[in-house]
Amino acid sequence: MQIKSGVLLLLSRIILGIVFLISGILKLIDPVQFSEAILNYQVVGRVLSGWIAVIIPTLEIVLGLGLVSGVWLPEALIATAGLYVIFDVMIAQALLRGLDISCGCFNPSESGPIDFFKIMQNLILTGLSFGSVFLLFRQTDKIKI
Amino acid sequence: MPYSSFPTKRILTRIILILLISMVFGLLYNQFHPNGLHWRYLFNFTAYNQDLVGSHYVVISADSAMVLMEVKNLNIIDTRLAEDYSLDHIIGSVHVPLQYFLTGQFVKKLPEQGSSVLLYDENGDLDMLKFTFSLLSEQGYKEVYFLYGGYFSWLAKGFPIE
Repeated sequence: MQIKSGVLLLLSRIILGIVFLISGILKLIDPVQFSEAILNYQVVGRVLSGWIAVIIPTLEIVLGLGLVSGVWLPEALIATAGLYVIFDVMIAQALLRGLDISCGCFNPSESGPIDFFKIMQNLILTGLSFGSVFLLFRQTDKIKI
Repeated sequence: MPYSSFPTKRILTRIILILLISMVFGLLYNQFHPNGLHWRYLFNFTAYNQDLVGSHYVVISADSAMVLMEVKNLNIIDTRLAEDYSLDHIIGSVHVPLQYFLTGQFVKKLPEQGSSVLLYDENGDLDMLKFTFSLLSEQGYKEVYFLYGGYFSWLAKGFPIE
């Protein structure tokens, strides 16, 4: 059982890490575009959207590296789960308010409104991150933190 | 060595460190990126004190803009998206998209320095126009006008477009 959960944890954190690395790099290509994508959600103002556009891509890359390498793994997993919760909340409020906007979740230049596929994609990744946190802390008596 | 209690403080400290590291690297990357956000945009520097910068801006209606165009040599700048500008725009306007102001690339597209400038966007977002004013005044543009209500107000009046 321990071996299986260890393998599961390894697989899930690698997947999450790679997703974050690719997503972070794509967002770094055009900071202005990403800032506009955040603004479209109509939650924060222009200045804050600018700051988020500056911080989130590098945060995703740093977390991605942590997840893939295993450095500061508990912190990386918890921060990843928290970040996905924020993404889910943003998407949910956009849907509830009927905003016809593109997600900008993975690639800020992607067109097309938020659809079922994007929602499921985010929910799966959220589930994966929380599952990984759970698996990790189940093993705290076996691995160093 | 396994922990007997959940290391909350350590985890929180490291998460804060991760956020700080990301912020520092993000700011550095943004500073050197050709399409990075202008630092004035991030720090909301909009030069509200017009006396301080020796320039001034005036918000004018479409009617006033029409009159001004006839009596002054006014350079009109359209800050909307390229696709909007290509569809139609105020007659004689030059396209300098907002993105260029956000990244500091606007300088090469500006009209003759010191001339009077009329800025407009889609619907008159004054915060963004004030931001662009702070950049224009730095470049030596002393007389900056903003079109109240933006391009929509111009269209509503049925004034000439091309």
